[in-house]
Amino acid sequence: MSDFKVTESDGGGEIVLSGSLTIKNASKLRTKFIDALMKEDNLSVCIDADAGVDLSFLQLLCSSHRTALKLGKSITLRILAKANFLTAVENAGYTRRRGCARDNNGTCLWLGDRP
Amino acid sequence: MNEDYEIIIEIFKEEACELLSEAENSLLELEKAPGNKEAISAIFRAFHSIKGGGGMFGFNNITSFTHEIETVYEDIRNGKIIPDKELIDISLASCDVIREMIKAPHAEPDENARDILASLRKYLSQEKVVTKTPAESPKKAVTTEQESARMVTYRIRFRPFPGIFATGTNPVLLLNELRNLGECCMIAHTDEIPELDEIDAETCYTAWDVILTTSRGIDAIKDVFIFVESESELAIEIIDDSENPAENSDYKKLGEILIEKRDITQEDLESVLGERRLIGEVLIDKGLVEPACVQSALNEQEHVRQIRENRIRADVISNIKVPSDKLDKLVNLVGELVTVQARLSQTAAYREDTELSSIAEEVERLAAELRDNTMNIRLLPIGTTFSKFKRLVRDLSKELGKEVEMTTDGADTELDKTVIERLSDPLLHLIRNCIDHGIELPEVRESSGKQRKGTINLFARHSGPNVLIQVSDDGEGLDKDAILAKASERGSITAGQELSDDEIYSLIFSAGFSTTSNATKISGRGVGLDVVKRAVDFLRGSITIESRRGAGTTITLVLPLTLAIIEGLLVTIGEEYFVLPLSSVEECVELIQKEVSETRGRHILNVRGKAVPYIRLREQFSISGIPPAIEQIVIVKHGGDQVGLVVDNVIGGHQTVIKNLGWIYRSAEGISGATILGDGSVALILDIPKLLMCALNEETVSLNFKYNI
Amino acid sequence: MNKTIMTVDDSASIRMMVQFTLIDLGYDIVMAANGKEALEKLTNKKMPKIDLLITDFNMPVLNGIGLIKSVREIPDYKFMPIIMLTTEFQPEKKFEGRQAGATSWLVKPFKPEQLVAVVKRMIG
Repeated sequence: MSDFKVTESDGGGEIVLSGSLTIKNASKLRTKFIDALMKEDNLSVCIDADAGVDLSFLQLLCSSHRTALKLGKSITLRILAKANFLTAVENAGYTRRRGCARDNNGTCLWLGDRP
Repeated sequence: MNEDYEIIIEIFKEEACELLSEAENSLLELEKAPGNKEAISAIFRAFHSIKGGGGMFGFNNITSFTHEIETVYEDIRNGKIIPDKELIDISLASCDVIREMIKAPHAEPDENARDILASLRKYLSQEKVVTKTPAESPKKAVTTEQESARMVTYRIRFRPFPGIFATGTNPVLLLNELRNLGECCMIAHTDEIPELDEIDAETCYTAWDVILTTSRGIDAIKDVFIFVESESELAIEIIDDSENPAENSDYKKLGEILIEKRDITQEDLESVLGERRLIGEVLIDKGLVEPACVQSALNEQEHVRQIRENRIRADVISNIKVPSDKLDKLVNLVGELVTVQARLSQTAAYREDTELSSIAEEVERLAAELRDNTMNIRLLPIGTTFSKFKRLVRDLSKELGKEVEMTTDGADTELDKTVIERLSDPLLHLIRNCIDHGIELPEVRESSGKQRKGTINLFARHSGPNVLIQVSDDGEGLDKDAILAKASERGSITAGQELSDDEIYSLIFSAGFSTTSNATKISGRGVGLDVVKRAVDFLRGSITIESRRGAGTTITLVLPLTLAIIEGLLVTIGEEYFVLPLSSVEECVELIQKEVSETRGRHILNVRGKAVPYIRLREQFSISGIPPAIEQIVIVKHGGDQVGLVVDNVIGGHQTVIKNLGWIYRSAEGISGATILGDGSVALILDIPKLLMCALNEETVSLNFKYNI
Repeated sequence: MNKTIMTVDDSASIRMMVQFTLIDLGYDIVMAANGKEALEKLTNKKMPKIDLLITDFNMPVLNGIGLIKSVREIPDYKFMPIIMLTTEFQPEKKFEGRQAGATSWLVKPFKPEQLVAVVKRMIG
């Protein structure tokens, strides 16, 4: 029983994530990210309006961004329900004024209120 | 919820009875086969459940009793006790006891219950018996309560164990709980998160730095982490405490914080100190520290600075400084309100309008409360004035070669700001006088069997509408003969005149009076105790002196709490109203014409055999018209003197807000102020000390005592 | 959607208390009298998905420890918060529960407010 959904847009370089983007689906989500990053050079991750995220998902996004940086690829977020997502980011203390040491091109996903 | 609760209790009772029956059955099985483990666990479980439920629903008798038998069966289960026939009997009897308790949960255990309990305890080792019954939480609550109000800022570093997700814990919910404790800022450290090929998505890689300001104490913080504490890394440090506040809002430097948190080393810091850019930037650029650490340290700086600034601001707000003229304005307004209120009450009474009367009463009550509160604002503790004199006593006694210690009592006694201000000088003079004339030189003291060190005590306390202030010393006391000699030398008294002790002592307050032959540098430079007398008169107070030769002197000042309002006695002369301060009024008598003629026109009254001089205020204030046939005399007292004041009518008690007279009236002898009555007319407030002086001066020749007050 | 809490206790009065306390806060409650019954309900596809499990320690048939261990084996409930209710406040009992996979514990007797606090801590 997986209560989350990944939709790949045709040729748009975007995956749409909806449902429970939480710990119990974390391992499966990891695989999805690996697949998507293999395929796309400029990956857009769309968080659907109904999506619920937790810390494990934020960690996965961080990890994906780091992977993208290493592969010379890019990853961007598209948030459909900003308020919910930002609350989750803030509650987890992920909001940043400046990216981490590995973020050499200022593309950190948690910068200010950019998402 | 209450109804629900009753249902639950009923269910609990039923359940407990069922459990008891089960326990009884198992007991019987156990009797047949003493080693029956299943029976033993069943019995244990039954008592255990009853105990738990009893505790939940407030049946403390059941809980504490069941706790004992449960403990016995725990020991049996662990093989520490072998059940015998007797124990089974006791256990069965215990079931009956518990059943009774369920029927009447809040009745005291009877003798039978206590006996059974005693036999149960025989099976337990001594330490077991005293193990506490399940109620250890209340204590904790008390300590946290004590710590309230105290705002402490903590730096918390929390690194959950990697497997925390698998225990069902969501660390973010713990952070949210911290947020509920107080003002909080937190930043996650994400540097441990690996790339996708290495990440275990079910592992927690995140750690947090939290800055939290709370009044709930460190226990409340630990409580949040109680379930994860043992496996996680948790460090809680205090970085700011409202109990020991820093002197200003400056906080540690960025480098200091980073070193303190072991984010960088001292060497790292030194290596970048020469740079002209911000330390944080340089450290990040050189890869010496994660940006998140710098941000966390910056957050900490900002948070603490904010907290300290707020605290400073709060301190300012909790004590507002107000220019005293604003207060005076308020007092005046309250005075006017009291006046209008009196008019309202009068009007209501005059119209016999009950509805208006009840409104007037309400206004009266509020006005009185407002008045008291306003007066309260003006009250200050006298302690600051007292402590001002400590230095004086030290310096002065040193100069005079004396050893003096000053003690104070009632420093927290509050009185009107104006009174305190005006009291400072008189007290100074009294203390000087004590050191100069009262306290003897150390050698003299020793030879008369006293301690070398003399003591001056300042004492203040409330007494009705007045404040008592005493200055006492354990010096040589007043020398009556010397005072008398000096007074007659100065012509203040005539030789052979009989004076009471009070009268003699009060001579020291006359202008220019000094008994010491050679005036010292300290006191006796023409500025005598008459200053004290004048100041106290101004404050509508009085002075009394007690003294014992060789033992010391106590000077007591009685002062009104406030200058703005007095309790007065309202009187009339012709069309004019006057107010006498009630504190000076002794009694009211009628002036009988016969007595007046008997004294042959001299203004002397016979009050119960005592000669009392009187003055006619009608004459004093040149009021035209004919006095009524029966005049009233209000006998007032000031210091030790009595004087009668003749008026037309005594109207009664009257609370009065004093208004100062304009400068035109400054020279009006015998009037100290004015007040406005309920009907809008003005009443003058009589200056009793002044009037007394007039009366005494007029009558001194005939009375044969004359001294300058 | 309301969160669903399962309370497992052999004592009906305690189950009721948990139910009455939490239902007022807008949670849905599923009850079970022992570990076995709880497991059956947790694995029954027709039952609602459980967000939080509150279980007693000492129970007949299958006790709290046994239940927690089995629950952690169910993929859907691997990360579900679990609160143990227990009258034991010895640390080794807590440790035993912790090892089995319990998230937190609540010592009986507890007041409704204490229960609410722990539940909020677990599922917000």
